Amino acid sequence: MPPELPDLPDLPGLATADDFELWSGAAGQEPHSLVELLNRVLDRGVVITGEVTISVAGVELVYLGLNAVLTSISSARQHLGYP
Amino acid sequence: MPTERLVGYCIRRSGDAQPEGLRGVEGAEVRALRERGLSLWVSGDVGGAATVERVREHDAVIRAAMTTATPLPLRYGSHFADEAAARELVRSRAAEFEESLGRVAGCVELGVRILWKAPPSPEAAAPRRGGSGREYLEARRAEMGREEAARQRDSALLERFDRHFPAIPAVRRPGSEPGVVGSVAHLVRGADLPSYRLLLQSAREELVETDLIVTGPWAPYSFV
Repeated sequence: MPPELPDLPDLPGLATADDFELWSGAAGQEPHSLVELLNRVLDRGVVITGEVTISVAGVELVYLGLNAVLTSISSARQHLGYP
Repeated sequence: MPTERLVGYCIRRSGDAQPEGLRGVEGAEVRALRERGLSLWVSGDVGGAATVERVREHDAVIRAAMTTATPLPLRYGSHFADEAAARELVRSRAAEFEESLGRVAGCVELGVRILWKAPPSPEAAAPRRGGSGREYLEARRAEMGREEAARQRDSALLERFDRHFPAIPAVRRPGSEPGVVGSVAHLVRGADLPSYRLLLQSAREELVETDLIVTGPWAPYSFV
């Protein structure tokens, strides 16, 4: 089963989450949502240090910047338990 | 001052609501370090490598901050040797953080992922091993021609998409696999969300050869 997607916050003064067709709900889009999350949290945001430790196949690696997307859609689908 | 290694989640103004009983990565308690009119949310660094679950936990703390005021999200893995180092970081970049907070105040980030509806045309056979050198080069040249044509198609489509969102700050990420044109991040003021929804609708109506997957609202990861 794909994991629960996080609740969207009600933002003061903004449209509520219900007003938006977010997370679109259509089957098969969760892998894309996962990639969107990973691209932001791992490759955007304020950078404090130059390194993040990432585990690939159980080996911890330090990388200094993310060029390629960490996961392809096929990997994201696998992680989420899609065939 | 404590010497515990810390991880950081986001930066806000000191006057913004502080974390109350909030748990971060691996359940570590989130607290605020106030410095120079700013507030850095941190928790103890439990060590270990990134996992999807931890990434979600990191974003969840930032979303909790978002419910009261737009924060500056930190990239996952932002760690500090100790509290003194964290405070020093805020002091040294306070002006930059203030400027960014002003720029994103009252805004959220929306993500639009653009996919081609029809599957990509079947790949012609990759250059064969064992064929002649000339055959290989010709096949390779054809393959590069196809890749370039695909890039141009994607680029043309992104331009058509962008025209629906004039004057909205946007950051593009080209797609890295067949069928994915790319992702666009938009910075949208709260008050403009209803009209933004109409712009999305008009984009959907024009770009009938694509699916637009909208995610968010996010903290402004792409605009800090």
